[in-house]
Amino acid sequence: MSRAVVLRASGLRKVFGGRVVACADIDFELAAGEVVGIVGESGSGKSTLLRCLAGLAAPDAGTVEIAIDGGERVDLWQLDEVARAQALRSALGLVHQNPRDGLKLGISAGGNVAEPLMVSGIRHYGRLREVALDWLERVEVPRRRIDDLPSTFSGGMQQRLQIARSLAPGPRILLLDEPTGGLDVSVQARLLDLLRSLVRELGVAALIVTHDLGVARLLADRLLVMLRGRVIEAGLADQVLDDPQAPYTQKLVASMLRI
Amino acid sequence: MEPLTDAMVCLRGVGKSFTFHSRGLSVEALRGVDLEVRRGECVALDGPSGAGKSTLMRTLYGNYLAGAGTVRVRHGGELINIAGADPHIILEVRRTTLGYISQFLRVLPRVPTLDIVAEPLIAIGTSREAARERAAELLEKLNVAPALWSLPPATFSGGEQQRVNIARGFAVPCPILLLDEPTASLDAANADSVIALIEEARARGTAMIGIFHDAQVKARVATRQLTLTRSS
Repeated sequence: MSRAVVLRASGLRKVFGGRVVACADIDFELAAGEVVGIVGESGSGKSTLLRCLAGLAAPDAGTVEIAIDGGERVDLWQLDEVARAQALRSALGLVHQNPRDGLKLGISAGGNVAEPLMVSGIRHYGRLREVALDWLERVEVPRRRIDDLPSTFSGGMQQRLQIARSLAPGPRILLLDEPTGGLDVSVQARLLDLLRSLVRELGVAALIVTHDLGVARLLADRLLVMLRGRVIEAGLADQVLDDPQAPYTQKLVASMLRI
Repeated sequence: MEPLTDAMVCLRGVGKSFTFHSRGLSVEALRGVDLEVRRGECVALDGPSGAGKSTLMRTLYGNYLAGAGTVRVRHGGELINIAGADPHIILEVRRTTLGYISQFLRVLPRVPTLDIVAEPLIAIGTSREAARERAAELLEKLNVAPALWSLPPATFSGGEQQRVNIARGFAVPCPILLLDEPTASLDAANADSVIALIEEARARGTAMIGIFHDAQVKARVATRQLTLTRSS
């Protein structure tokens, strides 16, 4: 019944400027193929946590283990910089809230999808283009846009392109930071639907940071609730939302619009 | 008391209170509920509004945390206590063993009806083709017009959405089924087709617990009744 753990954070702590505690005592596991949501208001430490997991910010204490090829787990922050970059590249995809942070704006849409594949060893131009076209189709970007720059795309299309770029190398773990944040509601629905089916189809484990409880309910199997840098409640997503235990979670759920 | 060897569901001393921190208030919804359900039984929960019928169903499904007692369901060969189980285990029990049919459809906006119904089957490894075939069969039984199958149900009438939801709930033949007013707001003909599905499930040994407000529906499907009273 137990599924392989693809990511484990233990005793994670991150302090800014010696006194602002962004994350403390964070312990959790992400199992293969599951979707875990991290909810909480701005400033609760969600994004900092994600940056520690994604190799973008070094924690002050604790460990982040990720499963690499062959299923073996490595301690991300014990690796040297080169080994860390390599482990991250093959095992983990990251989707930023702002697609401009995750895309290369100076290269074409096709190039954005193909670039991480080139880094991991595919060199044949025809093959790269084929894979890029396939990914554009999967994220519903018209094939004819393959040679266009992402800056000519709408926000929703840019976000879908970023998702293609992060999934193309076949990571086992996908981290998403407010992926629907800057989008219109109508565009959000399409993105959520796409994310849900891609994650299921590929069996990738996803950790999604969001302040939108509707997004959390639709996508997540489990939820972690963060407040002032700590996980104050965790459980099955529908249970946390329908029967919240902590005073803060109750407040959060009560303030959600019911439609 | 040990559960009966053939019990599918076994509740012992189940209690549930809701604490509302912002108002410094605690409300007791369930106290000391015992229930055992065997294969092929359909137990109707009875009692006045506020007696905790829905709360009991949700606690059984793991949607609410039980405050006291044990909530055991037979999953494969063993009895698993839903109260306090790891979320991964609850999700697995829900996928194959424990079905929940409510009146309300909650799905993503763009997914076509046929895929919504087929999805739980695909999730347990059924081929897409076989899952869609089964989905079509159920939608047909529930009188959802084939012209609607390729459309997302967001714009359907309430009754149509409810029937899509029921089809989805019956897609995987779970050995335990929770029914929360499955025929509410359906006309007689449509209610009949839902009742037929419930009877079929019971005949193949499904253990069921349900809330049925309609006395006639209850008389047709329930094999016995558990009456809850307000606990506070």
